[in-house]
Order: sequence, then C-alpha cells, then structure tokens
Amino acid sequence: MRTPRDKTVAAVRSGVVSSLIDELIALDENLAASLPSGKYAVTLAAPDSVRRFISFNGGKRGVLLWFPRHRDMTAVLSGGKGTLIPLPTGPGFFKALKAFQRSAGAVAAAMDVNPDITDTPALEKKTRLLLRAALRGVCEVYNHDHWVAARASHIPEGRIGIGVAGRKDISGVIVVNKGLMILEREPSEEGVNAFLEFSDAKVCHAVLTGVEPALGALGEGRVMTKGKLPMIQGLFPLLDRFGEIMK
Amino acid sequence: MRYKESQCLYKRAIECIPGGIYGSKSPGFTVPGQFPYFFTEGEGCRIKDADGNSYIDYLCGFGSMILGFGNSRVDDPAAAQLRKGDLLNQPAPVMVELAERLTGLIEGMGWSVFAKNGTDATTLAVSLARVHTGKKRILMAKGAYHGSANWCSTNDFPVLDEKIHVHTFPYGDEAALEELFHRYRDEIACIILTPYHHPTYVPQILPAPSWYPKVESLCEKEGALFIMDDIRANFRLSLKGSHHYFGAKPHLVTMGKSLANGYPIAALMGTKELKSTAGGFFITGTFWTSMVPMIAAMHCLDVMEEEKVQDHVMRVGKRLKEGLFQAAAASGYAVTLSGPDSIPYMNFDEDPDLFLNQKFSAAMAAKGVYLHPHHNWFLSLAHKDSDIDETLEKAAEAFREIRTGA
Repeated sequence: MRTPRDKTVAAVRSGVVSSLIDELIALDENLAASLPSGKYAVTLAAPDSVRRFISFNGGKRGVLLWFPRHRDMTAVLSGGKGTLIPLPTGPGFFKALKAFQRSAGAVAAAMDVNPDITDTPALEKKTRLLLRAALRGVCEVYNHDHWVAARASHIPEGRIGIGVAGRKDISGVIVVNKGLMILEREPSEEGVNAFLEFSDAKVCHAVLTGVEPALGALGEGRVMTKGKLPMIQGLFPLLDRFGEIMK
Repeated sequence: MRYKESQCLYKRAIECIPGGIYGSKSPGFTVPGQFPYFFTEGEGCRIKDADGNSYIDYLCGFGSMILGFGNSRVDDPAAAQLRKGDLLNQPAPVMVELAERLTGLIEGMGWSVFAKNGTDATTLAVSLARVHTGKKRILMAKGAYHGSANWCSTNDFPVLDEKIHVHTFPYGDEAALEELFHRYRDEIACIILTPYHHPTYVPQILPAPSWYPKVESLCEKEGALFIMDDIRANFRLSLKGSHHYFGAKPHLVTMGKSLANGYPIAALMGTKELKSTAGGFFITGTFWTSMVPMIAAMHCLDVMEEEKVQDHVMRVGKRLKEGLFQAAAASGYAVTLSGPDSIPYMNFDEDPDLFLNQKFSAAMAAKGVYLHPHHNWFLSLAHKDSDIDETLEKAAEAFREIRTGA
C-alpha cells in the first residue's frame, strides 16, 4: 500500500528534473551560453499521460523523448539505464537532444555539490535548486500519489508561499485549486494565504538537506509558519512523502 | 532571549517525543519562536513559563481553570486526599456524591458516569447512542471538535475506516441537516453538537433560535439521540449546563475541563430513559474512578455556586471584548469578537488568513499576556478588573505596534 506506484515515481522525478533544468538555466550563465542557439523544446513522455515540456529560448518543438515504461523514465532521469526513444517533433531535433543531455547533466552535477556554508553564493544557488525541487516535487506528489491522496485532500484551496524571508529569488508559490496543486511559474507573494518562511538561506539549506530537523528550526523561530495554518500543515506529509519517493 | 529555555526544552523533546509537543499544544499551532512552549506554574490568572516570564492567561489550561490556578478551596482538600490515596481498588463514596450532585444540577440528566478526558466522554456517548438505537451513523458539524478518537479526530489518514459512518454538515444549516436525516433515514444513531460552534481559526457561531427545536424534532422523528458536547463551554455559560443556557434538550451531555478546575475528570450524563442502556454497557478505565479529581469537582462546584462564577466570567469577558474592540479601532483595525462573553475569540475583519492574529498574539505574549492566536480564549473567576485593565493597556500598544510595523 505504501509503496509508490511506478507512475507516481516517474511523474515526480520528471517534474522535478524539468523544473530544475528551467531553474539552472536561469541561474547559470555558463550553462545557458553552452546550449545550442535558437528556439527548440524537449518533451518527456511516458504512458498514462506522464508528460513534461521543457522549452529552450521559448521554443515549442524539437524532440519527444518517449519512455515505454514508467520505470524507464525514472531510471534514465536518475542517471541510470532505461529504454528511451527520441522522436523528432520539429526542426530543432538535434539541438534539443543536445541541450537536454547537457542541461540534465548539469542539473545532476549541481545537485551533487555540497557547498561550504561560508560560500554564500554557492549555498544560495544550491538552496534555490533544492527549494525548487521540493516545491515541484510536493505538487507532483499531491497530484499523483495514492498514499497521500486522502491525507492531503483537506488542504484548503488557496496560495501558499514558501521561501527565505526577504528573498523573492529563493521563494516559490504553490497554488491549490480544484484538487490540483501547481507551482506558480512567476510567483508573487501578493495575496498568499499562508507562508512557510525560513529565516535565511542557511536554515533553508540545512532543513531541505536534512542536516537540521525542521521541527527544531521551527521551535526556534528560524522556520516560521504564518497565515492559514491548515494549508501549511498539509504540506508536511507531502514533503515527507517526496523524500521517500526520491530516495 | 525571551524563550530560550522553552526552545532548549523543545529541542530535547523532538529527540524523544514525536513532534516534540503534540496536538493542539504544538508550537506550530502558536506563533513559533515568539511564544512559550513550556510552563512551570500558575497562580490566579497568571502563569509562568519555563524562562520565568509571567503572563495574564486567557487560555486557562484550554478552559479547565475556571476558578484560577492554585485555588485553595479546591486544591487543599484535593491535596489532603492525595496523601491518603487517590486510586483505590473500588470507587470512593465521593463518586456517588458527585453523581448525585450533577444529576441534581444539570438540567434533564438522570445519571452520570466518569472518565478522564473529553474524548473519553464523547466516545462513550456516541457508542452508547449506537447501542441504544441499534444504528451506526453519527452526524456532527463540519469543523467541530469532539476529541481525538478516530471517529472524530482531525487525522484524516490512515484511520479513514473509523469515519465511514460519520457525516458532517455546516453548523446551523437546517436544510443540510434535514437532508442528511432524509438520506440516512433509519440509520442515524445520533447527532453530536457543541452548545455553539467553536472551531479553531474562525469566528464562533451562536445557535439561531430555530436551531435546537429543529435538531430535536429531527431526532424525535428519526429515533436518533441528541448529544450535547459541553466539554469546552462547560460551566462558563450556566451552572445547569450550556444546554440550559440555550434552551436545548439533549439526551446525553458530556462535561469535563472546568468541572474540577484543572483536575482530570470528564463526565457523561444522560436522561433517565437511557440509564438501563448505560447500565448494560461496559464502561471502565483504570483511572476513571480516581477520587482526587472527584473531590476537586465537588469543591469546584461549591465555589462556582457560591461565587456565581458564570456572572463574573460573563462580565469580565464583556469588558475584555469591548475594550479590545475599541483598542483595535483606535489603531484603525476592525475586529470581530465572537462567541459568548466568557469564551471570546477575535478575528481581524481584513485578514481571514490570520496573519494579523499571529502578529497581535506574539506582541501580546512579549508583553506578558497569553492570548492564543488560533483557539478561543477563556475567562475565569481569577480574572479581576485590574487584569482586564492591564490587558487592554497592553493590547492598545500591541495594535499600535502591528499597525506601524514596530
């Protein structure tokens, strides 16, 4: 019962990878510069409508990477082996393929970095990636996982802000609406109903990497819960489940 | 740092206690980092936290302290009995005395049994209703709190099976209630209601005049029992039970919290007609017959009767509500103070998400006044006019501070 279904794992993994590619390209000028020029796009697809779209420079077509089984998608996106069929969807086929390989590799490398806590830029970059992964992962868990479905069903509708105090660049907004949870692409803190706030990037990094228990930081006020608490309380089982699925 | 010891203790607690502090006492339910987590002592209406900070307390042990902390008229006889034994093999005579006292006092009730927590009493009540009617379904208002047992807890998972036969309706919605009675005709064992609707986070709702007559007529027609869960309001509205205050006629009444001014005891009472059903039902708990809380309850009832506690808590509560309303207005805030005067709760009209409640409560805690941001408050006999004056003075400062962002 508790074991996640293959489709859930593939949906979570592909959602996180596609989000991280977007985020890393925005963060890393060298990566952006190393990608082929022009507009193109990559679509990751697996059975039962597990589908992710990654646009490079606003492109809409290029390559569709078809994974015949959910397990193939999970394995390949985790750096392992699996069946993958690249299908052209437009003129940018080769560029898209190359860009995906390069950016996915860069994401894996960036997520492997353990920055020194005194290296503020590196720590903030990693924190931003971790936060983005967690928020997207939480959304995918909410939308796809049978195990948390009942437990999360009572999260009130509305907008939840999550991030570092005073740092819009290390923040995100999750929207719960009609049984779906989505991560806003261009988040605005205006009109959020609840906020889960980390006092600084170090705390956020420590909590997201499990170095520091979230409860301990909460007790000391370095993690704050503000506003409509049931919205935030509903996120915690999702975060736990996300951690389980990504192991 | 004002809450250093509280935070150190909490850090230790999370190593050995799931969640550190669980349930409604969890730091996450307050304002984390800006509220005390552990308390060490209380006297009158004042409490002291683990860091030695003192507060005028408006949570009163979640409603249990109706006379104030350390009331000698209750505590002295209770302590004397404790030295002679609390839990003996068989009940003490005081159990009979307390049952006699309550059945004479609580309107319409013909018998009483005792337990420890509200959850014990409400769970006994719905079980008894099922046994008596031979039906399974339970109706309760959406958002109402009747305890932490699986049938009514806020845990939606993984105890779903327990809730298959529990159905909710919006409080006060007569049409919705009628529809449920219609949909589950001949299947409803009981409806359980608090005297008025007192969920967390939102303004409290008092019953409309037509509400209880409707509930009673539907129960009568369908052969269902009406349970009044009076655990929280308990004795802050009327010494004869909150149902007396609102003119309702339940078949079963649960009480607890303020019954013994903080000593652990809850009671389930019922009409004479239900006595034989209750007699045939196995009701037990090792500590349910402990006598110290019963002795405390007897003395608490004495004081409540003599001091006209309900009049007092209503009067000081009214002063608090009116004063807060004015202090808020002086800083440009419109607030709603809902609930009975003795059990008020405040919401900022412009902020249904409670960001301002949290800021206000944190500011008040820093000034030495404990006003919970998400749970209704309680007044006690120990709250004097001078305490209300001091609270209002500090509230005016707190409203100004949150207005200016100081």
